[in-house]
Amino acid sequence: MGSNGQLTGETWQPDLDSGINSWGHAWDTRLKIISLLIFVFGVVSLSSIYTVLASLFLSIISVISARIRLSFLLQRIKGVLPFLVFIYLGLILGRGLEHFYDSLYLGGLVSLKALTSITATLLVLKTQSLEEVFKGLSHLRLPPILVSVLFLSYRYVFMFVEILRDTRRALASRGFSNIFCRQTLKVYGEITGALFVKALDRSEIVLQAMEARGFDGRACLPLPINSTLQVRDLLKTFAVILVMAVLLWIDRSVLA
Amino acid sequence: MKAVKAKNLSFTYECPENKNSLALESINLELERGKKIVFLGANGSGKTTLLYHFNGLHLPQKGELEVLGINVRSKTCRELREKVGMVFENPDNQLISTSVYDDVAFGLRNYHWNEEDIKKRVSYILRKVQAEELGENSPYNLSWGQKKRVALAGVLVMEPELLVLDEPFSGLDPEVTGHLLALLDRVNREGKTVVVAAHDVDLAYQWADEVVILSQGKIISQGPPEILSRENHMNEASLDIPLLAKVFKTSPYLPRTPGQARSIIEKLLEGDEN
Amino acid sequence: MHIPDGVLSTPVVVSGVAATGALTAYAASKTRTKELPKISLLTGAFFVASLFSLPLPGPTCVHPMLAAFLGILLGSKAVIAILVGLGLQALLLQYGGITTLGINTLMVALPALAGAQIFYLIRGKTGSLLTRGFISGAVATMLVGIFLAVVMYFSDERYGEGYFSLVNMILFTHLILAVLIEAPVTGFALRYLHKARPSLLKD
Repeated sequence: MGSNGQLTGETWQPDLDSGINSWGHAWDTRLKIISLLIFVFGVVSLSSIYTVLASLFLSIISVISARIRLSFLLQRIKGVLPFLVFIYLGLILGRGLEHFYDSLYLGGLVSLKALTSITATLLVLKTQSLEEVFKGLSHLRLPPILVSVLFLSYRYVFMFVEILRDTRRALASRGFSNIFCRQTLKVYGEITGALFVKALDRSEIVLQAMEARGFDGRACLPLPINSTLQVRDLLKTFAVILVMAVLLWIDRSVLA
Repeated sequence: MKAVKAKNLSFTYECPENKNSLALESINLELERGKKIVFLGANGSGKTTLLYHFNGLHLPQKGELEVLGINVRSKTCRELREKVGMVFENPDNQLISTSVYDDVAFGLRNYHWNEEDIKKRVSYILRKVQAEELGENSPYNLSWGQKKRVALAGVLVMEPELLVLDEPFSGLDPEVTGHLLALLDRVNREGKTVVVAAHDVDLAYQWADEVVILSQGKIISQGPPEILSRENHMNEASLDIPLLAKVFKTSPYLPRTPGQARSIIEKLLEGDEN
Repeated sequence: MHIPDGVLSTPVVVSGVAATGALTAYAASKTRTKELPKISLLTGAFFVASLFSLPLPGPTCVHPMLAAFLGILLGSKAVIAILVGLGLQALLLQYGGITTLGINTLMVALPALAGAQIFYLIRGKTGSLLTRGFISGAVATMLVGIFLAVVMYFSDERYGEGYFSLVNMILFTHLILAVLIEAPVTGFALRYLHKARPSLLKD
């Protein structure tokens, strides 16, 4: 995300230039999503910093071997950094110096889990388009209305981002300054209201346009997906399950 | 069978914010099949409202309407919408999918075509509108002209017998407008009826087979493009007569295209020299 | 403030998934598929509006939550909009985690519904739309803070230890946000909405 809060294209483009033939790119989207969920839920339930470190290490190796650029990881860390700093501050300030190392350990554990989740997520997000991810979700028995809302809102997010950008430019060209005062809050409130009114008005026309092409309220899902299930995809998923099972066993039995 | 047959059609918008507004009043209209028809009128004249009736988005509150022989009230709108394709003025309202391919396929999927046939049909239509290379693109990233072409493709893919377009030329440069007109001509030559709502009187004068002039929800006049040279009707509709009609106003000639106008002028000049 | 993965304990995370699943199923059962474009476009608007950087006194900015506003506009269907909106924020911007999507959704959705209820409940007490918006926006934001504090505390008691504990800091910051940001923004947004589309508010 840009420093002024604007969306940039980099954050969601597939990493096409990292090589389409990597094992990550060749993995069926549906199984990839299932594997990610198993892995991340598993990591979250680990209690030892050593097993979390191991899972982070495995995630980083997977991302590098799938030829995904680590610069994407750095971009995504920015989103989670403020909360992690907040956690550290709260733990150290709240619990005082007598619990300093324990606070550091807890903060470290939380941070590493967050980092592992972000790294593992890259393997899904950066090896095909986001549309393919949504299609994969539609094949995983998510309620059709949820998937339809996901597709349609994703389509129109960019349009609203442009509207917001144009609004900001119009404000700036008339001397608006972003300082804390009643006027600023009034302007933002009214921009928010205007954005939602535009959304509502447009939604009526969008519905008409959909109905004009035969939409009768039933979502046409699941949409066809650009991959077919193969044995190697199942093996990759099985490997993830096995690794997580081993880590959990070590975490609960050996290191507990 | 007429393409459209309306008898005493009236329609009122229900607006909770303002008092209800009468958008169409006692419309009597017959449109022949296989023609290129342009609806002209100022903003708020009722063009779009009338067009929305042709595929059942609005239903007449009074009067009767038959489109392609189908009484709009007697069948479900789904059957009507398979035969009547509507292209909206703002393509952003119509392009709802995350890729061009999926958007063009949207209508076919709603009518349960199988994916193999969809693939063939979508590829064919994208080639036809010269948007083949845009298949994997997001509609968001297209230029205005490209969006207009893809929106048209999304409707043409369903092979409608009647094609209705609301202000298709708005926001387009002259070159892209020319391409779009050529495409609509091609569609018309295949036997489809093409109905366009527009503001551009000169374009309608040169291109249409028939024009319908609306003002304040009523039809002022209907006929061949030459009726656009009648100032009284055009003034009533808050429109101006075509430029060529203005130039040749006091002459016995009424050319429809710049080419015809040039020939007339050349003949007149030759006559003067002789 | 979206919770990333790893902060909450597994039982809390799983409870969040289950509760959000149930709430979403309920909202989906009440949703006609023709409402799909309305919910979707409002989700898109919610996603973008919550990217605004609103200034606070000093060198900091904050993003608005707009929970009450969305609850007033969509009612129970706000759950779907919030779930998808937060999901998109997690995927596109790494705001929040995957395992915590359930809890993050509940954290915003329940106060959204409560804020909407309060907005309509106090109709008789004050006719001023601005005031009603202020109150519902402020209450919804405080409820978000309380919810966040509670789930953090239930995940690990260490988050609540000491005067300057994480839990206390969360409650304090949400109080500030509620009064300084969410209340006025919600009030002014609702007033605009009322002027532009009065029929949208079920008054």
